[in-house]
Amino acid sequence: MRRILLPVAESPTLEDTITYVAEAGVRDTDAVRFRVIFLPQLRATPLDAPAERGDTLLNRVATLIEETTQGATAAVSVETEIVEATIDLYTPIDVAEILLEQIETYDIDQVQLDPSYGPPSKHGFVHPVERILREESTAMVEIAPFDPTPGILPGRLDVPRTGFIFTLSFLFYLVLAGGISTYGLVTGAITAGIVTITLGAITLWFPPRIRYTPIRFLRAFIYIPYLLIAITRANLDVSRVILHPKLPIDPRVVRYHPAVYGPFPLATLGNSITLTPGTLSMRIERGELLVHTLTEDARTDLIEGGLERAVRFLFFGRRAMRVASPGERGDITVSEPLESGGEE
Amino acid sequence: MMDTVIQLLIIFLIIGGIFFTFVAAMGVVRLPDVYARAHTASQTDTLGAGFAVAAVVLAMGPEPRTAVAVLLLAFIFVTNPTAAHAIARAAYATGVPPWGESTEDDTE
Amino acid sequence: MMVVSMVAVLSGLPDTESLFLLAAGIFVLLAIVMLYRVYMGPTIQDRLLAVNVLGTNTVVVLALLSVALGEPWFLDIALIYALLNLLMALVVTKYTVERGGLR
Repeated sequence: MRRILLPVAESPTLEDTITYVAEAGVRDTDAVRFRVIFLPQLRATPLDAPAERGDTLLNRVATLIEETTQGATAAVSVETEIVEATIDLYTPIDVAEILLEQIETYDIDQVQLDPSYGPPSKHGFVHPVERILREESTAMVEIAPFDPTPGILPGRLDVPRTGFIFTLSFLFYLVLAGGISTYGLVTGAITAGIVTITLGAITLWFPPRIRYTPIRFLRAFIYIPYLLIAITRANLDVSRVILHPKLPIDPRVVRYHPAVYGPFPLATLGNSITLTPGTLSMRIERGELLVHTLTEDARTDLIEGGLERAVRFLFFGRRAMRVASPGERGDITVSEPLESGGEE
Repeated sequence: MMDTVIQLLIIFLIIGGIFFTFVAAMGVVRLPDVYARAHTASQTDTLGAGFAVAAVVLAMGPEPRTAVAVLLLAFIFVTNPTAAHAIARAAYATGVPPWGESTEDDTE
Repeated sequence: MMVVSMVAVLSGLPDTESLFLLAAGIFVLLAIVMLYRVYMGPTIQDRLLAVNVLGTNTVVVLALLSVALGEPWFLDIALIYALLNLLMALVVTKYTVERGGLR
């Protein structure tokens, strides 16, 4: 009986890896058990809540393994699990620790790693993981032999990306040119072409999808006025505080896990938080925001989570708005005020 | 009639712009630490600039060039908070302590 | 020039040009106030922030002047200035964080 551990996450080489592992797994053995695990803390899910995506991802992997191993002489079984780690998974060491636990508990002989396994956009994350597993366990560790990065660029220049960037820069050029003329159209097309070729591949992480992009654009017409009203209202509050002779501010730093996933939605949320007076995002890292708040009122707004809901609406639609507020979820921690005279 | 309405709207926007930019200037001068000042830079100043540029858009009326002004408006709303965030992040990363002594001697 | 426009504004119906000229003048005055923070610091980020706010101010002044003086191409310069302003902030902050230099 061969037992193979296969940690998975959304990645460009995932399918190749699964097929490879499944084919190699059934060779020269009479029984093999694949244990496929997903660590939600890696937040490798661009679109939806981690747990839901984890389920669909694991199902997809299990199906793919079963399809690939059909007709093999060996008896194949697949078990999948979403592993909720008790520690924060930031470094390869943390991830390796979880995998070592798995090896121990389930008596694993082989660990198969996807070459681009790890948090999104962390290239080479898998190598230290592999090294630690080799040193600390007797299991055979292998990274599937696929090229994880197409060149050094984060994205490939595919048709949707090319079209999107070309159109955008072409329109921008025409606006600057102040109207449509033959000269403008020709020079604009050339310029947009140069921009697309040189910068196209590094502009977008994911190609724009016909399914999402236009509807998000329409939703922006609701989101932007909402944001503008929120900004104006909060601006008047902050103006009162700043012009007040006594300057009654109460600055605190807030740690905030928003229910918004993926780089672009997170950036939108961070930007909106910064635009709303009284709150300023200081750091966005691994799905966590560090927000500087100027007044008590601004904190209350953040805890009630109106903006978070609006951003969820913008990216995921109306149904996604029904979510508990950050305060109810306990995803916000407010720092204690620092006593004056403390360390500089 | 329409002209008067637009004229009044322009005056309103310009006054709003000046008011919020004034608040931003006061904030930059009065507030106690980088993070607090970044608030005024990213928000009150953005709104002030937004009001003023909106007045420009109105005053130019419907002509091709107005598109540039609208674009400018959009850029200000995207770039200002980005810059403020970058600055706050840099301050945090280089170890500038947040909120310093802002509880007691607020104005410096 | 500011006095002229101020008189125009106060003497009844302001025409758009002088209104925008006056507004541009006030924005310049506010920019001078912000120079205080550029000078005082104390940290590099404080100065950078003040310069950034000043830059936004400059963009607004350019936009206002484009109406006041009837020169629509000022807006192009304002647009480029706004982008450069962001670029300046990003480059300097990246430099201070990753190289640890500059005080």
